[in-house]
Amino acid sequence: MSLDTRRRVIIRAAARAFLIGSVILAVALGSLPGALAQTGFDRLHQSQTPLTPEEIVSSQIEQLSLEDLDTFVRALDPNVREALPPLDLKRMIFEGEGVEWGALGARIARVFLDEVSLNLSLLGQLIVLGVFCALLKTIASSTRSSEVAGVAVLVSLLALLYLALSAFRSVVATASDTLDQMVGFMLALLPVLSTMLAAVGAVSTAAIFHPLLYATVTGIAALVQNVLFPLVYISAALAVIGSLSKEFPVKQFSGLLRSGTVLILGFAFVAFFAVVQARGAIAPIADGLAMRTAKLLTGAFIPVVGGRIADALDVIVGGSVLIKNAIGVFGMGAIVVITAFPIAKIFSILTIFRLATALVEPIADERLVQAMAGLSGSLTLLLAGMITAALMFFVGITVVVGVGNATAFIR
Amino acid sequence: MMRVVGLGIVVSVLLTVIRKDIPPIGAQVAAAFVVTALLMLMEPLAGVVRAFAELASGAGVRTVYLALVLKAVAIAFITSVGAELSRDAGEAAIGSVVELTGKVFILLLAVPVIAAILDALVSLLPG
Repeated sequence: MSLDTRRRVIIRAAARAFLIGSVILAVALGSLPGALAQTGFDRLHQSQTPLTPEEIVSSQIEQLSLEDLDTFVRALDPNVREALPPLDLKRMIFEGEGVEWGALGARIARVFLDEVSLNLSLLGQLIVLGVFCALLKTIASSTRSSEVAGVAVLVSLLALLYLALSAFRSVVATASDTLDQMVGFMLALLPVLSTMLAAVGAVSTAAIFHPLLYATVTGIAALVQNVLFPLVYISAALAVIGSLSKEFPVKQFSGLLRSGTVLILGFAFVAFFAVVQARGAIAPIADGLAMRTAKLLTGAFIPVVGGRIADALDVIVGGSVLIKNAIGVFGMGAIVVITAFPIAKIFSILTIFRLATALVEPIADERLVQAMAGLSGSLTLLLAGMITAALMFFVGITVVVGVGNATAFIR
Repeated sequence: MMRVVGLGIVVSVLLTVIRKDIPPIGAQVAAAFVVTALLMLMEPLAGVVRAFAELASGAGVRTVYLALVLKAVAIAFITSVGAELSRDAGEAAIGSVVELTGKVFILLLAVPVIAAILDALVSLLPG
């Protein structure tokens, strides 16, 4: 590396450090959401007694605006809200009471079992009607003029299909509601996370990630809601219609739609991961270096109090890391909880569909089996879409939290 | 069961004679036998329907569905018997009209279900 380039690199790093340093100073001296740093710094400046980390973190939390998040949590379904970890950052940080994953898992398992027992009547209806159809078909085929009998069997098939379709419809409504909820939650959480990211010192990371995550969250939601779900619905409708009439076979088309959905889902997933990981690998290092330089400059160039300010900077950043991680954990828990209940419901209905199809297949009409298999295939896709979206949101939060930590550690 | 089978054999044997000697009453005798046999079947059939209903209520099937299925099959039975009788009497045209009537009524029965299914399908589709 030539001397010239090296000088340029040093100048650039210094400029960057100056920028970051001034931002942090501005944050420390008031204004912006970053006012959270103010209280701790002021007190440190005025009183000569050392501050405890608890006090700094508490005063930071007090300044942090969680209103959006709080409003959102309060608007949730009471059942979901109960399972949610309490949005009490102080307790999460000082007492280590985060999300109780074990209790959460037990609760989800219970909900799943509840849903299964609730929908067991559906299973019973499907099987009994399927058996009736089979019986009537054998009786009806004993009469010679089987055309009328064929119509009668078709009608009983219709009754069965209607049952299955109404269950499917309720699932569709649940899935779509849940997606809306997830997106609403992410949009409420992201500003808070970005604020904390900036407070940790990862200013450029926050600048990159905030719009990136906003775009991906809304993009994923739009993709799933407007492209994937309609594809799934169309394939389900085609499966039902195609099974009703032998003269209008659309089985392949329905299958095509389904594999298209899977392809799009997989592609979106891979693209999301690639983008988020690639961004997450570079930005925090730069931020960390800038932070380090800022600390160095503060300590070296501000006379008298410089060293103390640099130390205060350290403590405040550490507190911000704690808060950010607590919010991240809360967010992850919330995403899990918000999705877990609907997924349990969908999964229970899917299980029942599959079970009913399997049990009825040896006796029932092949058309019925085909329609049921099509419906349960679509349900599986619906489930996959929801889980993928939830996973992407989950990973998004994890990456933001992790990126902030990387910045803080490099410091 | 045995009575119906025995009666059937006896009537069939009689009919071979009747159709040859006095053809006009052949169809009437056949019709009389069918009606008698059906009447004798009523009681066991009621038992079958009752068993179905019990099964269905045990599984929580709404009576609407069961009624629909049973009515459709009943209409299919009755019209097919009527159609066969008419064909037996040599009136194929009347037989097919009877069948058609049966189909129409079954479809009429199914109209609410078909409408509901189409409704569900349409509401699933976007737009």
